[in-house]
Amino acid sequence: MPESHSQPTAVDTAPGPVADLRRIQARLLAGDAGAAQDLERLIRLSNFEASAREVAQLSLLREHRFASAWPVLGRLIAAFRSAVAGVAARWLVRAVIEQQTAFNRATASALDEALALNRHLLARIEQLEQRVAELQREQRR
Amino acid sequence: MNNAADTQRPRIAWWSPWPPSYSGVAEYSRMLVAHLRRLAEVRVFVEDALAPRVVEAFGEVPILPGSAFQAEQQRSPFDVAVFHLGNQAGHAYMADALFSAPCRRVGVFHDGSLYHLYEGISRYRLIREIAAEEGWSAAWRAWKRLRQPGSDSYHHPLLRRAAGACDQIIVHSQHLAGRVRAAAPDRPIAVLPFGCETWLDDGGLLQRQARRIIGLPQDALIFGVFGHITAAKRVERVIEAFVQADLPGAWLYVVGEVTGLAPPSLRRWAGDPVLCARHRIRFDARRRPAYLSWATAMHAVDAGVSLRFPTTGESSAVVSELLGMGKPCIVSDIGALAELPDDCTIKVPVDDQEIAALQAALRSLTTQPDRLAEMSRAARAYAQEHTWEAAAQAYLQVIRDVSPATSHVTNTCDKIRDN
Repeated sequence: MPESHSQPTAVDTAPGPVADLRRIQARLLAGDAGAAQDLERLIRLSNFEASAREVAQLSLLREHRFASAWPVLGRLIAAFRSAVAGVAARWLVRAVIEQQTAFNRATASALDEALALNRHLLARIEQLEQRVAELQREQRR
Repeated sequence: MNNAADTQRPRIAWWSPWPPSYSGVAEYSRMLVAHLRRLAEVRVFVEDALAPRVVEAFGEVPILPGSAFQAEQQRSPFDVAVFHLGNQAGHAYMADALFSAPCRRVGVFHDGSLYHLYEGISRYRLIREIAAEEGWSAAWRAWKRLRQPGSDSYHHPLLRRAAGACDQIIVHSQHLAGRVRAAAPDRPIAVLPFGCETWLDDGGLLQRQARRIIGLPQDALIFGVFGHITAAKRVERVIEAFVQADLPGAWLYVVGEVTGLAPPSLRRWAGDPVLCARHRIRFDARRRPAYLSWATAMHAVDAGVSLRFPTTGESSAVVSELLGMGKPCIVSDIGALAELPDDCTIKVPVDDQEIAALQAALRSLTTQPDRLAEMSRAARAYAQEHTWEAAAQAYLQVIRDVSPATSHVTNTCDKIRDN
């Protein structure tokens, strides 16, 4: 049997995923039919946010820095490798990095826009759902 | 300057990773600061590069880059700087402040090794630390092993200098207290158990919705394994035991990134959904799921499995979260995990009896619903005794008490409860 509700803690009242999940649980306990859908909505949105954040973090490509774990000689080995790569591939690699970073940034930016649009639409849907519920209540009276 | 011993609201510099950093310590800090912010003036210091992206969870708790510490200290001196030290590169940014902060320093050791923290600064710094603590011959051997795959952190705990820089040390288990005490016998150590988030027993309402969203069967008994999958988590052992136990009606749900440190046998399972489906195993190997979907996945299971070997003495945030949700856990009988109460966990050895013991544990929870229910109640009771609020009160007590006292181990949580 479900236990009775306890007093909300500081975390309950603070914004964040735990508070979100607690609110959903309270609504499920109250028999709110929309709570299950809202849970799915919140999960999808937070996963989207996490993915967009990761894309933004990974969007900047960097040139590989050669290193060697050999003591003393390691720096010389790394410098030799860098010099060979500098002659053979540096300009080509830089051009590719620039192109790819530009594409990554555009993708990250598009994801940010899509995320903002989703947030806006979800908020709008929530408002409309509340309005529909109000109208249904008025109709019943 | 404030005086921590006298002031009701001490001013605290809180050095810790913070969400969205994908770290157990980041979530730990957020839960703790949620309660501590009422009792103290807290400033959180994060890695400079991450500061623009952190989540401002609480309006009255500024999240600042580590480089702003000196200016903040000059503006209004801190009573205490609390350093959350973990065996990850994400903690590297706080190393210099730990050795130089001009106020009382409290070190919270989340792991029994700081190898990867120093490696996160540079390999040169790592080798220098090994040389300083263990001598140049050990540093030379460590340097050679750096070129080999796997982690060498179990051989080089590197606790002595960091512990020696602290006026007070906090750990989460007696096991880790013993390790730190061995490294720095003259430092005072307080054992403050991990906090738990307590959830209402809703009769399975949230669990049913979680399973519907994830696509897990409603009528199955589901065991969950959560967290980064490395060799030390022994997930391949869990799978082996689960498959051999052949428990109709039971599922195994594995959630977490399969890292490069995972054994090849486990990677084969993760890459073969057909084989997994045949044995009622489900992998969810997303790299960085949002916390909400992570917590929802935990709500979906009936019991957790969290094994560890070798261990540096770390506590398991996953186990604390699962216990708070009323999910009993099967854990390794080693380190901090061995200190969990027997009425809400089943301990399995890490020797050659491990698979047989795992099978017996999985079978007993699957075939004895009364035992599962009883352990679930015990898990909730444990969480009620170890709330984040109690943990925050215990932190505050330690912060107020901080002084270069003689070495001793106290369980401040118990002290507070006794009072």
